[in-house]
Amino acid sequence: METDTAFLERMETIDYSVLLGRYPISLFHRKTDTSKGRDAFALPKQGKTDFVRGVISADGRWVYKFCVLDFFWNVKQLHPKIIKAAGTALPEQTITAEPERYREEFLKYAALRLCGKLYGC
Amino acid sequence: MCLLPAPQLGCAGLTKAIYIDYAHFQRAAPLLFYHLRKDVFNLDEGHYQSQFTKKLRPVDGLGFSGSLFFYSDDESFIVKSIGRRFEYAFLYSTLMHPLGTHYRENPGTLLSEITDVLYTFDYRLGGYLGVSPSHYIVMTNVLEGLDKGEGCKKWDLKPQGFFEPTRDLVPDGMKTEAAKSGLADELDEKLTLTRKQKADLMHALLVFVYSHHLVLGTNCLIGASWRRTPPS
Repeated sequence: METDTAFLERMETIDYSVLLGRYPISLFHRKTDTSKGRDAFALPKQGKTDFVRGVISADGRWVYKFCVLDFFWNVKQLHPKIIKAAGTALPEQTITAEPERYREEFLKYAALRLCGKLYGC
Repeated sequence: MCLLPAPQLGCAGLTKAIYIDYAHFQRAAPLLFYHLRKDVFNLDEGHYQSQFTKKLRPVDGLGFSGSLFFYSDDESFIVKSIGRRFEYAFLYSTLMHPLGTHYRENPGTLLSEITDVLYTFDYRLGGYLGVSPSHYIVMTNVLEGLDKGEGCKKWDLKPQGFFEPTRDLVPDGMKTEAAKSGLADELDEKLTLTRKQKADLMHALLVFVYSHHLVLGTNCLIGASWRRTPPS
């Protein structure tokens, strides 16, 4: 995720988010069926870490899938109009047009929410 | 909305004219996305193309940004409108080719897999009225089949307290309830990931965000521990 956010920072984007899905493991099957494209319910392999295709939860009940979405908000494109208007209209709102700060907040938020704590994950 | 097959226009059959709302759509950077689908995302091209020969179905309840969403035939792909000028201008001028490189160089990327960018310059009434966007992206549906069973759930997570135009600038009367309450979801349960999974997911971001803190914190802790129990 760090390389992704570094890329998005380099592209000066903000406002991206993590999409997380939770599925009961009973929906998944061991035999992969690729006759109709990618098999969304192929059981993730134990020990293999592919967060987009799915990872099995520690208690074996769920499959979690993750991805980063909505990375089209570029601060250079936003600056002239919206950020300026927002700054005037909403002085009390936390407004960031700094990709680095958004990146830091995003990573902190993801660490707290997904890991449950900041240290000792 | 419907997407109909049209005569192929070269590029080894890649470029296919399609129609959305009876507008004539073209693929942007068709070769870039063809090679991403084939070499990076490992998608079956025959299956992919077949997804857009039938009527697309609108999706409810996805996103609060005012974008339009459509499912492909078997819901394995999502077509999303990019309606705001600052979004599609950035996509074309800056993001598209570096994004392709990023996908190639980072096989474990969490960025959603964009498989096509579509545009039209046709004149349409909806275009003039601002209700029929002219730019779309096609993405793999990462959460395909999420509605198929009990116990499925999804969250859209991002830091709160940041400026969000749909929530902050649009008058309340024009917004959905979801938009009024903020765009992101609250993760209302604890994830049960293994230590290794957490470590894999968090390692890179912790190293980045807290590298200074960790170095300082670790040094302090080691220092304190050293003072309490000096080595024999």
